[in-house]
Amino acid sequence: MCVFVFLQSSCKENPFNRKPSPVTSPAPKKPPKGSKPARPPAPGHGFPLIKRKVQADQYIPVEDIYGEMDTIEQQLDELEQRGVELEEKLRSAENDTPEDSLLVDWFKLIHEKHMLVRRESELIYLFKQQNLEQRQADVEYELRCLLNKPDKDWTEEDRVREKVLMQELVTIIEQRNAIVNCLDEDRQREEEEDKMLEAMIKKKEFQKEAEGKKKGKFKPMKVLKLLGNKHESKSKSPKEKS
Amino acid sequence: MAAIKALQQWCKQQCEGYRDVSITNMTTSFRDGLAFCAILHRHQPQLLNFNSLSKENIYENNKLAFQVAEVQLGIPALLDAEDMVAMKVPDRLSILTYFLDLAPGSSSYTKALKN
Repeated sequence: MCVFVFLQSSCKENPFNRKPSPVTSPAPKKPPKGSKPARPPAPGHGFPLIKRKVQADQYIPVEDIYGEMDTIEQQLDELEQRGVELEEKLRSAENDTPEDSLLVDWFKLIHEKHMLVRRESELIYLFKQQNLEQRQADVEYELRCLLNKPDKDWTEEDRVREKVLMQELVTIIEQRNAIVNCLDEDRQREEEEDKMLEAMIKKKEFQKEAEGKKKGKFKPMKVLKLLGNKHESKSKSPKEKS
Repeated sequence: MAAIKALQQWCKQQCEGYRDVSITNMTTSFRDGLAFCAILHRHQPQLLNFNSLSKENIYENNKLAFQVAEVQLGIPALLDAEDMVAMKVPDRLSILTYFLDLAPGSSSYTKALKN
């Protein structure tokens, strides 16, 4: 099994695209000051072992995560309110042909709600990721302390402890991978849904313009902003209408 | 009505390949509950056994979909299984809203919690 000997690594990658730390072959340990090529016996548990700091660039403190989730809950309540009003309008118009623009407003509302819920789930994943990273740093540190002990000083307890720690490390990494996979899967599906909604809203826009009506409350750019603000892969330019 | 047609097309895609599911409108096509079960199964096949369902069991199919969605995914049911049986033409607005809620783009929250 390979050992992690990173010191003070700061993750620069996007937390949602985080891949697990690469497994490296045991790197040479930092020698104590004034060490000579012919090493004297290690002085017990020698040079200071530094615990890896986990504060990534995009680290979000727990209070902020909770804060944002509260905000989202409020926004969901507001959407609910708007939904109730819109539903009334829709149903009263139902006896005639329901206003198409009302329907599109309805779809937009649903989509807004979905996006808020997605953000909530992202925050949960982020929370879990950060916890896992901290645990990983702790486990690595303990392992390094252990492995720093000269072989001859190892007890049976130590060997057992090493096994346990290794297993825990594996589990943590598997969990981090699982989260990354979930995020990827969710992204893909969200894109599917976004495309569909975009098509619906755009078709409506095209129809309106073709009929020469200017009743639309929203313009194509606004719609694209609504749908495209989280997905960098989306093109931001309005598509050509056929 | 272009918007509804586009949505209907998407619903059809989501249910593609599922036996006895035929989306021709946004109301009666959904009455037997199979469409809801189909979209749930499509994205998370472990949620229910689609092959064991048959279109005559209107109540059971709907009940299953609503329960699974609520318990496993945290998506509240907008419809009643009893209503689906009782109404020849179910409420279109509820159906399209619920179907969109079942779309995977919305259900990640509960999955994130469970993970």
